[in-house]
Formats: sequence, C-alpha cells, structure tokens
Amino acid sequence: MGSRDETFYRQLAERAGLDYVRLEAGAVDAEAAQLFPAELARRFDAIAVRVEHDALTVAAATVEAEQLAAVVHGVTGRKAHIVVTTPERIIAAQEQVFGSPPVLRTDRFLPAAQAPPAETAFLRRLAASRGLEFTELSALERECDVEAARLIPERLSRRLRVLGLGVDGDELRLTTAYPLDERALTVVESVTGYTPHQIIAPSSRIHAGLDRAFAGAGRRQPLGPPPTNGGRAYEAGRRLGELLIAARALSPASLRHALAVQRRTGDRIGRVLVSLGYISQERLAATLAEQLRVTHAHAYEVRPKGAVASALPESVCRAHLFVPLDIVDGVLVVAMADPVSSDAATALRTSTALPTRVLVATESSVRAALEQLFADRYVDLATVELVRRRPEESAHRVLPPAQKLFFLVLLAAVGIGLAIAAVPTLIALTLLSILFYFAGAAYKLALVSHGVRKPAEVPVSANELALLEDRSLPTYTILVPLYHEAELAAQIVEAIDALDYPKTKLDVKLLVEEDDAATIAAVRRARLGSHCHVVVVPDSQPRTKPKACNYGLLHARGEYVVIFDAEDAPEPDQLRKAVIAFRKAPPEVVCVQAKLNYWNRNQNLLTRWFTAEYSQWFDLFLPGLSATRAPIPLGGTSCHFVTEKLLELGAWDPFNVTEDADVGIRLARAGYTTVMIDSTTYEEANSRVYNWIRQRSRWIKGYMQTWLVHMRHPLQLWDELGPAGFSSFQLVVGGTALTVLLNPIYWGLTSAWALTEAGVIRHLFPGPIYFAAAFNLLFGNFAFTYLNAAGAYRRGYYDLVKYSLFSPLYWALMSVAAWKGLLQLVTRPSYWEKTVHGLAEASR
Amino acid sequence: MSPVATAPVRAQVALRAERELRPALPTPTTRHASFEPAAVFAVAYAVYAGIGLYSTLALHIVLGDAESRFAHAYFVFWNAPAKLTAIGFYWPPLQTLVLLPFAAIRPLATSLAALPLVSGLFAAGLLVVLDRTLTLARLARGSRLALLAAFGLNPMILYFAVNGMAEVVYLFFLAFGFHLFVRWVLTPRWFDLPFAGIAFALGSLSRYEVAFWLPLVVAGAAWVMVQRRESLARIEASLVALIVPTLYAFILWVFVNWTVAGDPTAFLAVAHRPNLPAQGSLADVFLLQAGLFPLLVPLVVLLVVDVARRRSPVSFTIAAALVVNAATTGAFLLYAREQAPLLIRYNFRAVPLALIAIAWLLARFPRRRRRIGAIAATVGVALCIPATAETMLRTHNQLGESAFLHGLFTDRSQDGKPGPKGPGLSIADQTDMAQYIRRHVRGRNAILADDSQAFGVMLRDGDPRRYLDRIDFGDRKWLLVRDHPRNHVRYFLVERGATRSRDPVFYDRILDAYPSLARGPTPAFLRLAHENATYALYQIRRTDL
Repeated sequence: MGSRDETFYRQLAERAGLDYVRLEAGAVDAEAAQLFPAELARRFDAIAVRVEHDALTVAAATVEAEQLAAVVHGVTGRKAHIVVTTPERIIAAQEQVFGSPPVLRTDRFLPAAQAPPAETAFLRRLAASRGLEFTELSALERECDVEAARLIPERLSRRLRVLGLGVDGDELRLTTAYPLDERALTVVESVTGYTPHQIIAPSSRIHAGLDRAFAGAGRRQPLGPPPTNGGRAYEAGRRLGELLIAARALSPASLRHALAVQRRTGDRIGRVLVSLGYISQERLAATLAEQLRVTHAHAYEVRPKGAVASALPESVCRAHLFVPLDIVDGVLVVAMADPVSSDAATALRTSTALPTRVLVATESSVRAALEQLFADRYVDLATVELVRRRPEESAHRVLPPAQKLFFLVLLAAVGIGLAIAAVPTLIALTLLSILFYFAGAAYKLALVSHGVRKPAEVPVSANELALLEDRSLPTYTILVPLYHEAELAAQIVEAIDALDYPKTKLDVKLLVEEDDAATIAAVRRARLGSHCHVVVVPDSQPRTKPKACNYGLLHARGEYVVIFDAEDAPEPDQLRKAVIAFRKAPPEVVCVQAKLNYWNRNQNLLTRWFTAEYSQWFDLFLPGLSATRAPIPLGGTSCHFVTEKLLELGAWDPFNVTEDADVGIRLARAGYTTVMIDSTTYEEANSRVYNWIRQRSRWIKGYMQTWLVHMRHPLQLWDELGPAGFSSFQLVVGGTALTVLLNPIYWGLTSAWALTEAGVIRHLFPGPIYFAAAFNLLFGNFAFTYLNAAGAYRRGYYDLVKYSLFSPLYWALMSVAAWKGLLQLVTRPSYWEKTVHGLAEASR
Repeated sequence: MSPVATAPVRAQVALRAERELRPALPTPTTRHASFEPAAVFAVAYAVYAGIGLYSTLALHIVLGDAESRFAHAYFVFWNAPAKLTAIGFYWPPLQTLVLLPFAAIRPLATSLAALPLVSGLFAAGLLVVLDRTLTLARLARGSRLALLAAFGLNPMILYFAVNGMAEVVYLFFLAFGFHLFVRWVLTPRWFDLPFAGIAFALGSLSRYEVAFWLPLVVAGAAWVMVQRRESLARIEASLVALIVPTLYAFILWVFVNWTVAGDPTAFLAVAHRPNLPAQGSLADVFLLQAGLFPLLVPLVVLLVVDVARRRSPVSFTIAAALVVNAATTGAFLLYAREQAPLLIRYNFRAVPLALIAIAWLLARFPRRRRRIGAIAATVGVALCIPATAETMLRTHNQLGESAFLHGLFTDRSQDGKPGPKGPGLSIADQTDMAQYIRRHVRGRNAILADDSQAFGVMLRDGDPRRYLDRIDFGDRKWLLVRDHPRNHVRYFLVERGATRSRDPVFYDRILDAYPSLARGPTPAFLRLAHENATYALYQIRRTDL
C-alpha cells in the first residue's frame, strides 16, 4: 500500500512540477518544524522539514503549493519550498515532532480584562481614519462566535491579533487590533476560506476573546526559549526591549541603561528592567506573554482551584515558580512566572501526563497562588520536618524518657548522698563545679590566645572584592523575620537596599506572621524593590523565629541564604565577602559567620557592657573556636549558609529558641565547618534592663535546650564531634549556661564567708579545693573582665575599655537572666521571649 | 520611650569610617622558624637544669631564702591542715606560687632538686623572650644565638638560673613586659600592650619593685601614641590596659593581707626592714652595676644619643629602664639608709633589659651595619662574663655568688660556707636532723618548731605533719603551746644561732622564750635528744626532775 501511495504522489508531484521526497524518520529538523506550528501543519497536512538559506522546505501531501506557500510565508516570514510526500509520512513526522494530536475544545473561558479608555479612543480614531468599523467588544458572549474565532488557529490569531466574530455569507467578520496588510489578509483568507472583513477592537478585548474561544484547547505549547534559532523572540522587533518600546512602556534611554546593567550582572533583561523600576512585574509578564504568543494572566486571575493541588508536585512548582490553576476538559492550566526557562519547561513537561496550557503571570502572583494552595504543607514542613527526619535533634521535647530517667537517677543519687553524707557530697559537687569553672576558663583563654596570635577569619582583600564580577555572583536569599516590628520595617528594607549586591540577584523574604497586622501593613507600605517579597507565615505554633525562617527558606531560590533581623545594619560588602569566603574555603565549609556588634553602644552603661561582651565574643572568642575547628554556636544573624546544605540538615529547629547555636552544632556533627569573615552586622543593643534580661534569658534557655538535645546520645556525639569537639561543646555551650547559674551560689558563699567565717563554709572548701576556688575567683574573674576590655580594645571601641572593668556587675544580670531561663525551660520551653527593639538612640 | 533610632544606615556610614580606623589584623613583620623558640628553651633548660642539679645536690649551694620559700610552698600541700596561706606574706606571692607544682611532687621537693628545676624554667623562658626580641631586630639566626649564648652563660644569669631564687622569675616577667612593649611599637599587634600589662602585673607579684618600671612603659607608650596622633580615647584605653592588671594585683594582695593577716599593709611592713647598717655611696652603686655588666654604660649612652637625635620614646623608655635599678638602689641607700639594696642580686635587675636595648638599637640600624653591630654586641656581652665573675668573687655584699663560682671551679661542696650574717646554710645539718627525727619521732604535731627557722629540717624530713608550726593554727595558739608545751608537744626543735640579737626579724621564737637553748644550760623540763652545729632537738620530760 505504501509503495502504491508513493508512486501516486510521485507522479502527482511530477505533474505539478514539484519535487517528491521520501520523508524518512529523522529527516525532519525539529527546529525547522516548529517554525510552522502544529495546528497549521495538521490543517494543511504538511510539515516544515528544514531551513535552507532564507527558504523553508515544507513537505506536504498536496500539490496546491501556492496557497500553502502563502500561508507558510505569512506565518514564518520565509519563502516556502514545497515538496511532496505521502500523507502517512507526513503524519508520522508530525507525531514524531509534535506529539499526539490535540484534545477536544470546550467553551470554558477565563474572565475578561477591560481595555483602558485611552486605547479605546485612539483605536476609534484609527478606525475612522481607515474607514473601518470599531467595536469595544464589551460583550464577548454576545458578539463573538467561538466557532468563527476558531477558524483561524490560536497561534496565528494571537500573532496577528485577530479574532473572528462571525461568518456573514462568504465574509468573516474579523476584529483586529490594527489594520491588516494585504499579506495578512491573504493568510487569513487562505486559512479560513472566507474573505476577512476587518473591524478594529482593543487588543486586550481581542485577547480576552481568544482566551474565551481557545480555553481548554489543550495543546502542548512548546516552551522554553523561542521555538527556533532566530525564532520569534529574537527576531527584529520581537525582543523584549523592543516590544516594550513599541508599547511605549519603556524609553530607549532606560533600555540602554538596563542593557548596561545586564551586561554587568549577566541577568535577564526582564529582571533587570523590573529591578531598576522601569517596568512593573505585570508589564513584564504581559510582554513575555506577547513575545511568546501565550496568554497573560493578571494577578487577580491567578486563583488556583483547590482540586488541582495534587496535579503537580508541590516541590516542583515551588522550585520552578509555576502553579496549577485549573483542569479544563482534561487540560491542565498552569500559570508560570518564568516561561522562558527551559528547566521549568522540562520540569512541567515531566511532572504531568496531562496536556498543559500555559499562562504567563508575575512571580508574586504565582507565589501567592502557591501559598494559597499549599500553605498547610508549608507550615507542616516548616514546623515538623526536622522532627520527622531527625527527631533526636529536635527540641520539641525538652527531655526524652531516657534523658529524664538519667537526670532523675542523678538527682536521686545526689539526694541520697546529701542524706547520708551531706558534707562530702557537697564537697564533691563543689569540686566538680570548680574543675568545670577552671576548665572552662582555661579553655576560653587558650582559644582567645590562639585566635589573637593567628587570625582565623577568612581573609578577603580589597583587591578580591574589586575583581569580583557581578555576573559571577550567585543569587542570595535574605530572610528577614519580623514580628511586632512595624516601626523597623522601613529601616531593614533600607539596610538591605544599601547592600552592595546586584538587586537582580537578591531574593529577600520579609517574613511576617499572619496575626501581626501592623507589621504586615508597614511592610506593604514600605517601598519594596522587586527583589523583596513579603511572605506571610500562617498562624501556627510554635510561633518562633526559626519556624518563620524555615517557612521562608522553602521559597528561597538563592545559592546562599542569610538571616538578618529587623534592626540589623550589615556592612554593605558582607554578601560579597561571604561569597568570596565560600569560594575560597574547602567544600566542607557550609557556613560563614560574620561578626555582630552594636551601633548604639554608648547609649548607656548596659549597652556599653553589652557591646564589650559582643566584641569579646565575636572578635576574640569565636575566631578562636573557628581556628581550632571546634563546633561553633552561631550568632543569631549574619550566618551565611549554603542553602542546599542547610536544607539537607533540616534547616532550623523551630522548637529551639537559640536555633542559631543549635544549627551550628548540627552542622559540626554532620562533618561540616564554619568559618568567619571580617565583616560586621550592627544591631541594636538592648538598652533597658528588663528587656535585656528577657532577651538573655531566652539565649541561656536556648543554650540549655541545645545542650540537652545534643547530649541525648553522648557517645554518638563524641563519635561525631571527636574528643576535642565534644569537650569544647561541653565547655562552651554547657559551660556558658552552667557558670551563670552557679555564679550567684558561689558569690553568695564567698560573701557569707567573708562576713561570718562560718565553719560550715570552711568545711565545704577543704585545702586544695579552697585553693582552686580562690584561684578561680581571683584570677578567673579578672581574666574575663580583662578579656571584655580587650575585646572592646580590639574592635577599636576605646571608650568602652574602662566600663568593661566593671563587667562583674553585668554578670550578675546574666545570672538573673539564667535562672529566669531555667524556670522557663521547665514551664514554657519553646516560648519565644520577644525582644522589643526600636528603643535605641543612634550612637554618638 | 526614647525616639526610635533614626539612622542605622547613617550610623553605618559613621561605623564604616570607624572601621577604617579600627586596628588592622596583625601582620608579622619578621619570619622565624617556629621550632626556634622551642629549641632555645629546650637547650637552655637542659643546660641550666643540669648545672643546677649539680650545684644543688653535689655542691650543696642552696640559699636560705630559696629553701624557705620552697619549704613553705611544700607546706601548702603537705602540712596538716593544708593551707594556701602557708606561703606567707613575707615575700611577694608569685615567688612561692610558681613553686607549687614542683612542691607537690614529694621526692623532688625533699631532695631540693626542684629548686634548680623551677628557676631553670624561668631562665630558659627568659632566653626565649630575648630571642624573640632579637628577632624583631631582624638579626640572622646565627647572630641571635651567639648573643643569647653569651648572655645565657653570664655567671649571674647562670646563678639565677640554678639557685631556685625568685630573681629569675621577676626578671622573666620584666623582660617579657619590655619585649611586648617593643614589639607593640614595631608591629601592629593590638594585643601586645594588654599582654604587657599582664606581664608587669605578674612581675609585680614576683617582686614589688617591678612596679617601678611600669610608669616608664606607660610614659613611653603614651609618648609613642601621641607621636602617632592617636585619639585620646585610644591613648586612655591603652594606658588603662597597661596599668589595670598591676593595680588589680596590688589591690588583690592588699585585700588578702587584710583578710588573712589582719593588716592590709603587712607585706610592706616586712618587705623593707633594716637588716644591716648602710655603708656605701652613689659611686659604689655605679661601680657595682658597671662592674656587674659593663655594657650597660655604653648602651645607656647610645640610647640617650638616640633620644636626643630622633626623639625616640622607646629609646627613652629603655634608657630609663636601664637606669632605674641604679636609681632605686641609690635612693634606698641615701634615704632609707639600707644596706641590703647593695647586694649583687638587687643590682642585676636591668641586665636582661640590656639585650632588649641591643635589639632595639640594632633594629634601627641599616641592614649592613646591623651585622657589624650584632658582632660588636656579642663581643661586648661576652666580655661582660669575666667582669661579672670578678664582681661576684670580690664584692662583699652578696648572697652565695662567690660560693657558687668557687664550687663550680673547685668541684667541692660549699655546704655551710659563711654568708654576710654569719654561718651559711648547712644542708648537711638539716639532713642529719631530719633523718634523726624520721627515725625516732612519731605522731602528729609531736615537735614544736618555728617554721621560719626550722623549714629546712621540716622540708628534708618530708612530713610537716610531725611538726606543730606557726602555720598550723596561727601564732596565738603556737605561742600558747610554746609557753605550756607539756601535753601538747613532745619535742622542741630550734636553730641555735637564730637569736633575736643576730637578726631582729628572722629569729627562732622558741629561743625567744628559752634563750638558754641557744648556748646555755638545758632547762630542767627538757632533755637534749639530738644536736648538730645548726639544730638541736629537745625532748620534753613528762615530769620535772
């Protein structure tokens, strides 16, 4: 049968003066085939085979070459060279290139958009000047016959911006956004068989009509970069900038500026234009839709139906920024924020067996839609993911049964000891405390000594910063949790805007709680750049900063992620320094910790002490930990992570109130390392004593939580951290909490002894124990006081040195906070004692 | 409520400017092999420990002060009850505290081997400090080591390194403090000045007079910072960092004196008591110091010239530091009318600073001249060796220096060689008495002894619990037992020559109550159990005869 057809069509071709080809499988150039869209190819039983110079060779099962050539030329702009082949070979080639034929169409459509009045007036005048009719197309249901609209294939309709309204005899009443030229009219006539009768109408109404007519048309639209080399998007007049200029949405000067920025940053021009504020996200989405000849969905149109939540995998949607909206007659309607991305196209294609119809929407509307669809899942992931994956590393329980039993046995042993031999028991406890004090003090002094002799920060020179090209920078996610901080919203936005990092490569998530209306309103009032996104965290327990950060992290698209608090003012080059540090560091480095300090240090005595303490911690102590590769309890902000690794670790523990310290230990246990950079984030130091105590009580409670969590399996911890790391963990994390708890007890005993010389106290401190205790008291306290002064000196806060000498008074406050924290650990372990900010005066 | 902070971003601009002024991270200016300090230490310690063990155990060159200090360190652990206050308030605390680790090891302590091992540690440390200072001058390793060797073999340095006395302890801290000061000037290490403050504090706790050098460093540091146009805040903070550790050390020591001894200035009362009539003049002071280390004089001259030419604060500070020792000796001689400051050991204090002066001067030389300067300095330091030895042998005001040299030269025991106050310490007598007591006396608190005199016997015995001394329960109870010994103790142990007339401060308080025990008839209630040239052990009769 085949050979007889071939004979027939060969003879047909000879008679028509056309070439005959035996179209083999694989002979069709897929890119060339895409030039002549599938719907037209099926209509004409043809397929574009290859491009030769400026001509397109089209294989057809017909000898009516003239008409086909006209259509081909009209659609592709190229001369057509028609060759003949059998229908079977045409069909086989079409199936190979275009896939299965489209499904049935339906009448369902999307809501219409309204044309702006200015356009209407202009079009009226245009129509009048050309002697054409004008219609506003305000009642599509009445005015537009869907069948008439479908006489012209959708792609052609959109390209030409025409909408068939109805057939009147042998005329096709055709609305068009601009008067068609002869060629276009010829194409329409060739395609439809009717003589087109032009009527001018607003293009938005025409598109709405097309949406209505072709909703559920169910074709797999080829996505990704424009269909062919030198395809539509890159044709002269079809590039994004050109389209925007043509639509008078952008000036040539602005485009030139944006192109210059693009050359420097390597970002896509659309993102650059939005970040520079030249166009809105909506305009970008609409222009992309026009460029790619797909439908633009406005923000209010991106409203997914709940039933489609399972149509696409949530993680894929989140990663590639598309959201299923609806299933119409078996066709999945999907809103995409990045239709140009081949990764997104591939992900969509491989994620569903359903045919898809793509609409272009803004990133924010897609995200909002994802939130609407998957909020519960996000909350679940943010809250219990770590508990699910690594329950033993979560503080959702303060004391698991085994640990509870251990402490009960320990308490019982101490109780029995006190009952049987009180004094020896107390002496033993005293001895243990003193040894712990001494070990902690000696270790910290050794760390500081190590850190000052050999700077541990990853060096980043001014030259390296200067040579770092914007286009080589990765996307950076910044998480900014905000809660009851409406007055600081504008401040943090300003601080982030001050960062020296291409805005197109920033992915800022302002995390606000659902019940915090004031902050939400403040954030929305703030002048947010396109790089800032407001993420509303649904109200759920526990309401903690780490849970909010986990929620935000789900949407992070940066290669690196960092947290900044609302009152933070990071140094502008911090992100660049972090990038350089990551690139210089070995692969096991997954965290870079910047330094923290305070900008209101001179506000009062408390802020001076606080600043001296922070200076000592971040400028002397942490570098020592880093230099010795000990596990580092991270600071609350300005810890930069490799996003992928953070997710691998389970991100932050939402039940731990010092999630930063906890994640620092977890990454050490996983074999990863933290390094430091010499860059500072300035925060607001607590200037009110009660507020300070609340904050410090949370920190110490968190350290206790962290210690308890990681000591659930001490042997495993020993294996993972090694003996040195294990010891460091005990002395730093455990020791920090324990010493401030014990301090008041021993200060009290010392004072009582000095005043009364009571014999019972003397018995508690026999010989060597007394010597050790005296050494700790006299030299240990001085050493740490001096360290605070040294920290302030190191940082250049010379005026704080003399205040640091009164640090023991500050430590008394810490002890008050510690006992408060301990009590709260029992009664409300995951309660987040929110620190009030915005109380500071700018530092002189 | 305070106004909301208006300008974290503006504050950022200000903070950025501040950051530019912030001390840069330190950058080392000199390269040195990391093994060199360890090697210098190891070699020096081996030499000093070897010579020290020989001089102590074979030649019996042991100074009473050293043994007393060490014995009281020993009592801290082994007395009953064990007491930190056994270190006493006579000497600065650190002199005894540094002995504690070795005092805890009984065999080392009772054999006195610990004495040279302790002082050898600090002497070796001193050489390491001086080596690091010479490194700042960018001297070649050969030049450095030659200079160090010449200095390290100076007889007085050798003597300090082996005798277990406290001189080398405070000399170490003094030199370390000046090393850090010079390093702070030459390299941008922010932590050198605070560490220098700690060095001076520890030095002051080793020898109170070290505090005399601190104001010089404070003045020098202030001058340097003024020249560098540093801010007032930075100058203030730097000086606070320098001064506070020493201030704290003194306040702490005063507090301890007050709480334990009942008198906050107890340490001052015993530290300076006249013991010998003053004989000498300022010229004697100059000749003594110049004789001990002749290089001091040209060094001071060179430094003064540098001050005059270049207005160098560091040259001024080091020159003043070299002169301070002579100045303080002269002041004590003229105004306090004390002879003790003319002792050799009190006039050698500035000598380690001479090497720091050499390093500083060489650092300012151009490279070509530096090598010549190093050679000249090495020769100069080496030539000081015979000068020092000669002074040690000839000078009357000494404490065992000549005995040390005689012992080394003759390989003969110097046990009991007379000192400036009469018969010298006799290890043999201590050992003899200790052995007798170990054989014949049992029981706790069996022997009443004044630890300030009988310390040697108690140490050699090894079991202080056998003795009821003044540390156990304080002077009040001890005096009561002394006056009514029956039913409390069974023996008296006295050092016969330690009478109040010999030394109004250091005397045996048992002899105070029973002066006939010195050389007269034995009281009726006592029976002589054992005696030797230095000590006598009396048994208390159960009933009177």
